[in-house]
Amino acid sequence: MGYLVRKIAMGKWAVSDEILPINADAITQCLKTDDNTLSVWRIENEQEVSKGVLAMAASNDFLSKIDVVIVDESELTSGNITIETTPGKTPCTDLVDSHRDLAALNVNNLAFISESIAAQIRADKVYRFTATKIKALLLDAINSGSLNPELLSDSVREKVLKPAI
Amino acid sequence: MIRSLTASILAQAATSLRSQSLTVKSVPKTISDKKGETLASPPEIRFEGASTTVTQDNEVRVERTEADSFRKGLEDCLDNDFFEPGIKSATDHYVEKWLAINPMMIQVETGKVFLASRGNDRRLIGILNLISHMDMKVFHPMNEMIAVGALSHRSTEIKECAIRAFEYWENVDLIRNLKHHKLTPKWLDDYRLEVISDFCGE
Repeated sequence: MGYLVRKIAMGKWAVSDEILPINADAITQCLKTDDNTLSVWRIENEQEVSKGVLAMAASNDFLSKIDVVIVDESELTSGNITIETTPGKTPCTDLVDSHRDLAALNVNNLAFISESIAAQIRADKVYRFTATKIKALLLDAINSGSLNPELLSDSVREKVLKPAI
Repeated sequence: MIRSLTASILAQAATSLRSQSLTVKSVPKTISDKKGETLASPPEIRFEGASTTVTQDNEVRVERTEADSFRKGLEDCLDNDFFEPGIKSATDHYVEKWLAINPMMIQVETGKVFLASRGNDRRLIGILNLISHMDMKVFHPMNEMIAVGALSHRSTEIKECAIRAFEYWENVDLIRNLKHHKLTPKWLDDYRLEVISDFCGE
């Protein structure tokens, strides 16, 4: 079993140390489903978290900070969450196959997933990648040949290829 | 007779023009007859900017209509859009179309919508997303004023959007000023400090 990287909007999660019900915005806006699925990126271990972030950042329109949490794949399967392998929408061709959908989700599944994420936030295990860090990740991927810069959005490409300040 | 008639006509003309908000530069007091005898000075009437004033009125009216139209569309976008950092929103597309027409008007009207939406978190988040992606120099200082104002908002998410905007602009001078804005909760302040560190090395 591996780990799943999920992007979160920290501002939507009003999580305190005390275990209380998750606020609704976190579920309705940060866990907004599409065709009852949620997009995640699979990694082998927690040290590979940047791979998931790279896959997401490379497909974005703008360079922007990304916060992610890592959820244990086995934890989700034990909660009866269906995990499907689907091709990821990212220009990083090496990472396309690491995409997963949390599929056929219902309201109980969303409650379970949100509790898993909230536990990570409470444990202060949110990985913040500032725009500067993301720029470095993208540049490394370009330099190593695993990312074609022409496949980035104009805005992201311009920022990444601009000389450092 | 001629003298009084002429003076009367000129006076009426002046009155008529004044009533149309036009400026009469001078009204002659005397006119000369055929023998050269001075009856009055040459009938010289100059209307300062008469046609210009009318044109300017029309331009102001057109600009006001444009501004109202833009503002209505912007508010509709902000009320209905879904804003996700890093993703181009429908609001971004909408404003882009207007940029070619009148960037200054967009700046002013966006600022007005921001001020009028202080109790509307959804709109404020949309505006902060929007201004962060617009050309920093073209929309300065309105963009900086909006972002600085947002740092004092009660909403954590809105403050986060403001830091994102500063980070996106990559302007060292503006980011250095973030030192004066300690934020809560801790994760947000850590983000602020990391942005300062990324760009100012402090």
